Amino acid sequence: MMGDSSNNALPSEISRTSASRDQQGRCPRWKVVSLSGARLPPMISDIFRSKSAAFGLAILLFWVFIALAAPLICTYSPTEMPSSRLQWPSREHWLGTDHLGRDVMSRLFWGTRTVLLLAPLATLLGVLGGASLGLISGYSGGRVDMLIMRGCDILLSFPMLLIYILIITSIGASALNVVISISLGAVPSITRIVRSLVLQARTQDYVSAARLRGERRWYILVREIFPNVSGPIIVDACIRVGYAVMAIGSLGFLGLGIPPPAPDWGGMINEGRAWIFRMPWIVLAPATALSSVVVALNMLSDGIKEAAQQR
Amino acid sequence: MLRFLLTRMATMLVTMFVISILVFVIAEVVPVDPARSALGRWATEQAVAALREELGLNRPAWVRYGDWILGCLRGDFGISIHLRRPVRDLIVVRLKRSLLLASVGFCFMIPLGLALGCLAGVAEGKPLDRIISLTSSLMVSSPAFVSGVYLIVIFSLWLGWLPGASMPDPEASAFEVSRKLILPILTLALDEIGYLARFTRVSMAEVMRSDYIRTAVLKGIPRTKVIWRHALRNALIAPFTAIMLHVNWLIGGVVVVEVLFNYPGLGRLLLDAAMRNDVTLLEGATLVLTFVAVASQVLADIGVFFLNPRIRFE
Repeated sequence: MMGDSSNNALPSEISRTSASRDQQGRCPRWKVVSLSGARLPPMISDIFRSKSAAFGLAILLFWVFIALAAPLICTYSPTEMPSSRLQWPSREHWLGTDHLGRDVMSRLFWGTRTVLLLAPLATLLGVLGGASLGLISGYSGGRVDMLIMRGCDILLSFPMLLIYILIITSIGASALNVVISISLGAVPSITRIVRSLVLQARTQDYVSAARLRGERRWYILVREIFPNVSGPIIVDACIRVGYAVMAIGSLGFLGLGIPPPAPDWGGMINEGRAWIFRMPWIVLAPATALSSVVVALNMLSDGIKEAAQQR
Repeated sequence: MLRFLLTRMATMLVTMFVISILVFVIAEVVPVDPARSALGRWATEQAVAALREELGLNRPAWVRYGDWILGCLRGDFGISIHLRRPVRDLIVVRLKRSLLLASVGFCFMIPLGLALGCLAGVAEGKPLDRIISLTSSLMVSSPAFVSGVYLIVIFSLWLGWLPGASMPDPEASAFEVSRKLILPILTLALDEIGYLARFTRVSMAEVMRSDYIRTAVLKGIPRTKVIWRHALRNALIAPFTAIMLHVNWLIGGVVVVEVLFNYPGLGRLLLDAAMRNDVTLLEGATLVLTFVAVASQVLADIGVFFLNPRIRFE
């Protein structure tokens, strides 16, 4: 578990489906490029022809709405302790109160912000780092490539959660440090995927054309190759946001996440654990919320993948 | 063959060497003062200075690393700052318990995951596939602490069948001990079953679409025979590598499960060390767990070599 499963099945599926021809021998659409290197993204409507993608997006939008509207919906502050401890659900407190008398519903809803902000941020940083390394590695080849790849191999054999624990112990628990450790942990596997995409793209005519035109190396990498490999990277990033959600949750659960009293789903599960036999909803609510976000992200990425294949 | 084994061993040594440097640098060099962080904010200057002296923190980092890694190679991981006992003794006891948990978990998850994946892959697109795929994607999307919490609520709270914590009790009978282990093992396995089933499904579905399976079916060989004789063997190579490469993911699961169920294994020892800034213990436990992961990856490579003679290594 934990955040990032480096050797997951999914990346290889992505590179396979997007890079090779499908059964009928057609090229998936986002491999088709115009001369300028611009790429047509899969149409939004294509994505939503898949029911699972639409469903996933609906769940996500629900949580985004909750995150944005948290101050309006919640009558209680997530950190204040206004009421008596461990109350059962009532009209005032729909999910009761926790062991410090805080409203569980408010903490759940405000916690959405933590997750929906930090997980994409960590993924974005990881993709930026991984994509740059992967582009360099795949395009330059030779010794640079070998060095980067060996480095990735070594980091990938390191249990991901242990990397997080080590880094957080070393630099301290805070929202920023959680983001840093998760994005660092994601870099090696993203590097690998991007590199394999670049290796396939490198031999295409448009790259040779650009090279013959005398374009600079960074121009070819950033303006020619990157737009053409970005489709699979986006699909992969979508799943990775899910991993980041789980990683943030795990760190919170282990007591190494965002420090209290900030509302955080993993932390809520950790704190509520002691009362699981008396008031299971304190724990079940954040657990279900967390899973639903990850499921939604997986469904969405499946939908995007399908859309890309079908066109 | 011998050459392949030797290169794999050499790679493993290099990997462990680099990882040991990484662990050391992150744990001891990056924080400003390990002694201060170990003793906490309220410790006196003298106490911190004494601990610095004791840990030899006044020496340059590379000398300390050399000492530490040579000690580790001899099996001496130093003395735990907090518990004041040799790290090795602490780790040995805990590692046995964790390995028990993980190995029984493996015995559950591998047959279940492979079976579910094969069923779904053979029935690609049919209702059975839909159900299995949905369940496995739910499992994949629930980290161990989520599925564990659900299992506790269902089996301990509602049904009252199984205990929700697994602190071992020396007085308890073997039956009682194993009863306490069911939920942690199930949680650990659930996490991986989904992953394994998804992976196997893709691999199986691909094999079922391949030309040689079509040929076998068209030749008139019964479908079950085609699946058992032709498809399975080729479809299972990929999941085998996948599960061995997934051991470092499983280790994360072990840490979480041990914390959730209060099971005193190596994962919880490591987390306790991290919480108390017990640097020597943290380094030792991390190194040992990482070694387990790296060694299992080497085993996976060797296994694939035997399973699939077509593979030729550069």
